[in-house]
Amino acid sequence: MKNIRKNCGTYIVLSVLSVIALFPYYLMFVMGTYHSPDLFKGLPLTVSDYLFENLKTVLNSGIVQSYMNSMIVSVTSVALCLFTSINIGYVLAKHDFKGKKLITMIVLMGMVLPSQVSIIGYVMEMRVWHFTNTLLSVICVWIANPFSAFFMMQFIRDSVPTEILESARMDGCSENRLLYQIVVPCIKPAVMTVCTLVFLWSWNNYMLPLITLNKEETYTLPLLISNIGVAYMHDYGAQMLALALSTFPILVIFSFGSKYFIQGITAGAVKG
Amino acid sequence: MEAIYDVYYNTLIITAIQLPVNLILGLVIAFLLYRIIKGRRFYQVVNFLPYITTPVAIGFIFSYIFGWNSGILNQILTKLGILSENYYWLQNVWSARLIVALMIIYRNFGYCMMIYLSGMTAIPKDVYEAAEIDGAGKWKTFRYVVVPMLSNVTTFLLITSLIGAFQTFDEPVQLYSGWAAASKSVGGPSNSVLTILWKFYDKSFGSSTRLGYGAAIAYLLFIIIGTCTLLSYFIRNRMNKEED
Repeated sequence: MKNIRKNCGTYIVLSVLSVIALFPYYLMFVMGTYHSPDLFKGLPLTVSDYLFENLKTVLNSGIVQSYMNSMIVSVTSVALCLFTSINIGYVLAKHDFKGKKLITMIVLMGMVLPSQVSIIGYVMEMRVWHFTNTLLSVICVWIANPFSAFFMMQFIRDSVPTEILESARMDGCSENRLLYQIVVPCIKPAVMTVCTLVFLWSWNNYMLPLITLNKEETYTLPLLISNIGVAYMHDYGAQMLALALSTFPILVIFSFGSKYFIQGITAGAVKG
Repeated sequence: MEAIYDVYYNTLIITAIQLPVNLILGLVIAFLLYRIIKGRRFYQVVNFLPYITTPVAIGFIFSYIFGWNSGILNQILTKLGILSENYYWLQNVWSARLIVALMIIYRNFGYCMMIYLSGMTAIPKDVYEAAEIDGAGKWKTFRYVVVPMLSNVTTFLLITSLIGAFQTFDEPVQLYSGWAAASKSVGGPSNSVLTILWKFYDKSFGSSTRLGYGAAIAYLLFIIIGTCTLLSYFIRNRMNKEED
């Protein structure tokens, strides 16, 4: 209690900031319950009674499909990205072979290159493979994600002792089992970090789907939201509800896994 | 046709407004958070929410708040009597830039706060204790202990935020195609918020398909960002060496 009273000013400042941070979300959820004409009659700051009609409109607009698309994209991206980055990271950290330096350099170069620069080449590639307008075109970028590979490499190098690997090899453990039964359990925090980050990035990705996905059945959530104004022109209440529905899951996931998110996002920035 | 340095000018102006505010606010709030124990996690999570929300959604909400006819800001200001008639927030060159900067601050300040906070927890406890024994108050601890000891973190944040700022795309695009989107225009009022990437997108995939021209813009961007990244790589290396 003494602590709280002493830091009264601090708490007031923090609360004001939190209210500012939360206000847009509040606005979004509240406005989702309005009948559109009522939105313009006054300040829409309290809950109204039009929620179910709006919900009907929104559900008819293909939001379920977009949800599924976004889920498929994010989950597959995470799985593929984890698979490749763990493999690359393990080999680069714990094995010696010809050309290892070169591959490490390529991974590093990939990190320096901003993703937008390579986007033209990537889109051409997708066109050649006829992947445009399929979800594959948004998933494939994550197969070769330099950041995850680099992160895994560093983590495996620092936290998996070479002695364990050698003694397991001595006992006749195959390389595959070595990787999945000894290395992966040792790097659980790194796996969680890459999971959360890649999930977040692929969920929020906007520019790439905007370029490669043109059919409504393949829209991911950010695309659907940005096209919502076109879909139902003046039904602002429904627009807001769709917005609220699409931001909701990521907020829930974040609140549950905030520890890993924060760890993941601050990892690499500050040591210790 | 607008020249290429115009888009650099726009991007830099928006960055110049957004970056200092972000860093200073992040540092101060992180220090406030560091000093309290109860509720630290709650405030941390709440202020971090905008960072994980789709920028598309934030753009939509902001274009509603600052809209002309139905915008909530105009409604409040006219009700309070500060404005006599609705103001075109999104149609004025400088207010448009300011709003884009505001959106970036709203989204990124939580990130700066988080990085600063983890930097503060990395400073050994005895340093704070020594400062307290020597009679340093809140302000003096902040000014003479925390700020200098976090200078490496500041440099790192400065460079990574700069890299991010050069890639500003989602915010301005959404501001002009969300709520108030009568027409999907490019660049805002007299191209004042046309950022590098928006131009890149528009030239290569939007209004025209000049992929070569787009690639040239991207190369120019790559040189700048590459330099920034190398710089941050060396600084981070130096940071790690100092800690060992």
